[in-house]
Amino acid sequence: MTDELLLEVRNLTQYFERPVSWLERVFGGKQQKSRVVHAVNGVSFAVRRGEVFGLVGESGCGKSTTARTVVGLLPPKGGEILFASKDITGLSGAKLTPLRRKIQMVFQNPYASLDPRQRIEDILTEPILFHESVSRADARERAMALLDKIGLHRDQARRYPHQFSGGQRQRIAIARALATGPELVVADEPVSALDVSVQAQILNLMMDLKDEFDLSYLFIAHDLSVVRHVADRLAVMYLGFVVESGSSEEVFERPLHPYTVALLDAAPSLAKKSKSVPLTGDAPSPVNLPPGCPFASRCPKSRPECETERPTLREVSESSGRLLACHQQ
Amino acid sequence: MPAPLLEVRGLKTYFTLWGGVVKALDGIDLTLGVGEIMGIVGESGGGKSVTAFSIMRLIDPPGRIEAGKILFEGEDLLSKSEAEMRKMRGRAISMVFQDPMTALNPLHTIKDQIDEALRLHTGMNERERGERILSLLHEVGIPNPEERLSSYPHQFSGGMLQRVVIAIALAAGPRLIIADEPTTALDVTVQAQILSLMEATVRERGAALILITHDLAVAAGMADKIAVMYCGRVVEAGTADSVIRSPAHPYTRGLLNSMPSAAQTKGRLAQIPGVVPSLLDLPPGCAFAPRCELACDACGAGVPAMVQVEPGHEAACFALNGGGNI
Repeated sequence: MTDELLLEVRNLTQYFERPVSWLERVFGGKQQKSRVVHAVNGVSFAVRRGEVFGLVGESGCGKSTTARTVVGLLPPKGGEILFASKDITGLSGAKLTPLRRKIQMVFQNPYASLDPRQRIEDILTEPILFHESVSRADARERAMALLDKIGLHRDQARRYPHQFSGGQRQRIAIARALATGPELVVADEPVSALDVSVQAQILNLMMDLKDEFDLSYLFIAHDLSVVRHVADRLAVMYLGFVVESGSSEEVFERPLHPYTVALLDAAPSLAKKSKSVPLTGDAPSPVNLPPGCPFASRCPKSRPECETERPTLREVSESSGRLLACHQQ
Repeated sequence: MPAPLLEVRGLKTYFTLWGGVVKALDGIDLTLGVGEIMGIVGESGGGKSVTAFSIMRLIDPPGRIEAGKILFEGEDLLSKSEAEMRKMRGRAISMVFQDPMTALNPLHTIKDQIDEALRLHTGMNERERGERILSLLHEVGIPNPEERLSSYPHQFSGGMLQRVVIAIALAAGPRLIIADEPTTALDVTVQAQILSLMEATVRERGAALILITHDLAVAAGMADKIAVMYCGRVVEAGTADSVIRSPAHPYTRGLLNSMPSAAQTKGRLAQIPGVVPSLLDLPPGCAFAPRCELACDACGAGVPAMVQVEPGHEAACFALNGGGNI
């Protein structure tokens, strides 16, 4: 790992507007205004070359939206995205194409992310042929080499996705991501649809491939033990905000934000039979963001200023690069 | 020793498909005492959910319970008529499903759905039922239950809905609750809420609970006993502590080792090689043998029987038949 920043995300904002439907226009009294879902609210983080950066949080916290915005599937509504020090914010069309080669994505559900009507060899050669001017035979040879790397047999190349198990399909999805020779792989919950024993296989494979192909990962997961295992550094998200970030060792050993503490407490583990009091309530709606700290409504340590003033993400110790957004510290 | 609440003996549930017979349950034994919490763990295809549906007698064609006994309070559920079963379901044994969004009827209010269970299974009049609904909602931790009575399922979050489902399951005071992956669809912090709620209500009422989960850590956190299933068989069963601390079956050990843990943060995870075989094409003998590092000739020849590892803890593995350590 070097200190060179491969991906830098600054103040990223993403929201979705839900227009008023005709039914509401005709019948609805109070819902005449369009509703805005604030999915990502000024998120900043950086992925260094060669590291695994984890993005953790519960559903609805904006981690997948962040990932989709970073890879260019959604145009950002605000903020900047820098890749290898080049501003790539809001690039589209032909300008985005060369970047897609360098930033690839692995999705959560390998049953949905592979085209059921394409053979495996076509799934793997298509990105190569699209991005590079090589002959079909060369592309095919490279696809076959990828199959070796992910632990599938070359004679399985003419099969269709439905002939493979979930774990094998996720291997294929990973191979497809690697086909273009990316530098950054954005993996959105790559193992959460898989059984535990298969999950271990895929995590091991991803770590092996990272070393072999000099990859960096933006690794998104809700499972803390998985993130702890793979990530060098991580950011914890809540309601579209980063509430805490730092090296994964430090965050797990000494969580500072009350939400991180609660999240770690809530995770079931074999070791502890803890009976700590779980968090009450649910996360607030991203349609009506609370004016103060996003976590104030569920925070056991909440004080009056937490309800009114939104804490900013700031450094808590210079040496470790630990960031925290909380009024308490 | 008092008679167990539930005794499953040699239960076989087969599904007859075009491609052959799927032996989803191939002779399983389970014993559950009054007020006990049992975790059934294993990966998909192990037969956990089929076990739950077999106990409830909710197996539809092409599935069929081929053999075995399900003794609930001494009576064999398999010899009961459908009408008798209907009186048991919800009253003596109730169920909590994985996805609360689909377990409830979107067209009825929460009140109506809890009321249905009370109307069918208790002799309460309308006023008593109304009070009972409020106290149930209060018990499962729904804030302001009076105001939520006339809400529809879509107006609740996933965690709140699962609380409603639990309230329905508790309504008629069952002696056994079967929860099939009750927190898999929920977030970690909500999962912690629901698990502690389930444990508290079950213990308080002295009801027994079968908790089906793929997450060994969830089972370890609240179960008294754990049964590990693989390809339609129980491969290991015992008290939760002994199964987690000293797993005897290579599959259980593989599962435990492949979980990323705090103790071993970096480096490679221990993995179980290969994949779960198709139930249509099971290997002969022990189904785990092709993935097992201890497999020997005997494993391919016959199915190992459960042997005692220590008192209250048994496993089905030929490597254990020597009676000692592997």
